[in-house]
Amino acid sequence: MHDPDRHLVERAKAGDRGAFGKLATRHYELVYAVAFGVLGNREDALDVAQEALMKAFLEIQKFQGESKFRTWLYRISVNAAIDASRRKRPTEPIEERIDLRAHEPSPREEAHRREIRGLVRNALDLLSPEHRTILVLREWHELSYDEIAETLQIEVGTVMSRLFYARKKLAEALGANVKGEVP
Amino acid sequence: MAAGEEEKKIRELFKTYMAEELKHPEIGRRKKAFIQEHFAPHIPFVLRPALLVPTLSFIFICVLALQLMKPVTKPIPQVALKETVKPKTLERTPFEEGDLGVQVKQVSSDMGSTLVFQKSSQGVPVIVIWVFTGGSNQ
Repeated sequence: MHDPDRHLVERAKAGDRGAFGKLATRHYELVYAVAFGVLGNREDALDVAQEALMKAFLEIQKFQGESKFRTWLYRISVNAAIDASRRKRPTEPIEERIDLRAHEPSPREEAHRREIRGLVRNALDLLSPEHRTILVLREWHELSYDEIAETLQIEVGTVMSRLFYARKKLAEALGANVKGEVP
Repeated sequence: MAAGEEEKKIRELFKTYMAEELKHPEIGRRKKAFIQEHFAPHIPFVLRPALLVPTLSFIFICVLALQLMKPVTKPIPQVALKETVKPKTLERTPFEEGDLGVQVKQVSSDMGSTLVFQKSSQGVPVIVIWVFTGGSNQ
């Protein structure tokens, strides 16, 4: 199994802080995307991303190289994000929420983007952290079912059923936006 | 709409949502700060960006000061020394009684053939020992 991070991981394990810095630079967005996909809030996601990277740094000796470093880092990030989502306060800023039924498409691109963002966020809020995790790993990171199963340490069948459920709920929540009735 | 189309549309919306978020400048700023704070390679204290300019300025001033001091501390050429400075030799001069501040007219001793005389001159004690070989008067 070829792991492009192996050399840096070995150096980091030998105590080279700078080597881990390079790994963190390389994978920061990956970790942040997992955190944001699960939490849906920038500030929380930034905190979780840093928490996950620090945890990975402190536990680098435990990484035995049985999987790719990236897969191991995904696992740490997912666990940190799911833990944080359970601790998270149930209230979200009001301005971040958009009522799906009251939504009217805007001709302006920027406004449209903002609306899409609000729509997707509201739709994601209807899912559990575990379903959001599957969605972000599959749709954003484009991991295979096997990779997702390895990362989350669950069966491939569970990955498929969770993904099916997540997409279905998302389609329901997005409604007309998915059916092509709005630009 | 077919299920495949619906799935594609969801993926597009989700990707747009994530891409928009990751483009936010705050992400890059926090990433840089985080890496810098925890994993930046060790830089000596004086070479840190905030102190680099004052350090270089200090070194420059020191070098400049040394350059200015150089002509002052430059040794005088030996040729000039030979021409202007003559070695001073001390010549012996005969002892004069006036050097001690006293005039000795007559010396006699009732105590014996030896007299010890001591006079302090400018804090330096001078001891004179007289030995009378020819009797009590001289």
